[in-house]
Amino acid sequence: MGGRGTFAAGNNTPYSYQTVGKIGNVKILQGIGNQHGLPESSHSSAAYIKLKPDGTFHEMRFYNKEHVLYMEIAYHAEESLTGNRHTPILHYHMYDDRFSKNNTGAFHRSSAARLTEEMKAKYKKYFKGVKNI
Amino acid sequence: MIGGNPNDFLNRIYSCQDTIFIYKGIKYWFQGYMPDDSSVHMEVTQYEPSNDREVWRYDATTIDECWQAFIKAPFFNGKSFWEIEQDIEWVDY
Repeated sequence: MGGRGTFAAGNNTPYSYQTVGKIGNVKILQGIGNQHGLPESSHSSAAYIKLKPDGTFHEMRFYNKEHVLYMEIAYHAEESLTGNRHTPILHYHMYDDRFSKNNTGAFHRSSAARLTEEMKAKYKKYFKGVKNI
Repeated sequence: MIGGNPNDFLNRIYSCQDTIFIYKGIKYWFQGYMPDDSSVHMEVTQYEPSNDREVWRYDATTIDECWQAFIKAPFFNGKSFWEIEQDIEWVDY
């Protein structure tokens, strides 16, 4: 189980995304066909962004030098942070190496956490359309 | 399944990544995470129209246990995933 076979796992799977723009030097990706979300590992980039159809920020993923996903910033409701299921909030999850490097087995994806002030300052240029950063 | 393959969808569920799908005109949001090194949490919430009711949540010690619970859970009018997968649309937003 798992289905995370990707470049980082050593599998040369076809790349199912197209670049539809950039914010700064970070590519904005869109899945091709039935490809959903952002890649579980990267080919060469250190980060990718996904926008909603109206052009606002949806998600950003960060990859290390081994092409491994290690952090994801997203903008949507998180009950554990806001106390309700409808107020969107910028937050992040951390992934351990096992997520991208293995097709099966355990891995760690952290609970949602609020962005630190340092993270907000560093990444806010990517949060297109997000109010009250 | 519309917009994807049901086995790919279940692989995605196993990976705990945020996953959005539509069933009977309602958009749902799935996610999973590990609150600590010895527990796994998975949940489904109603995304659009927004609603604070709890659709499904499960806590266990392994991903596999939560994943099996997702597959068996009768959270759509008493029906489980394989009974309604042909009516589920897997979407991006």
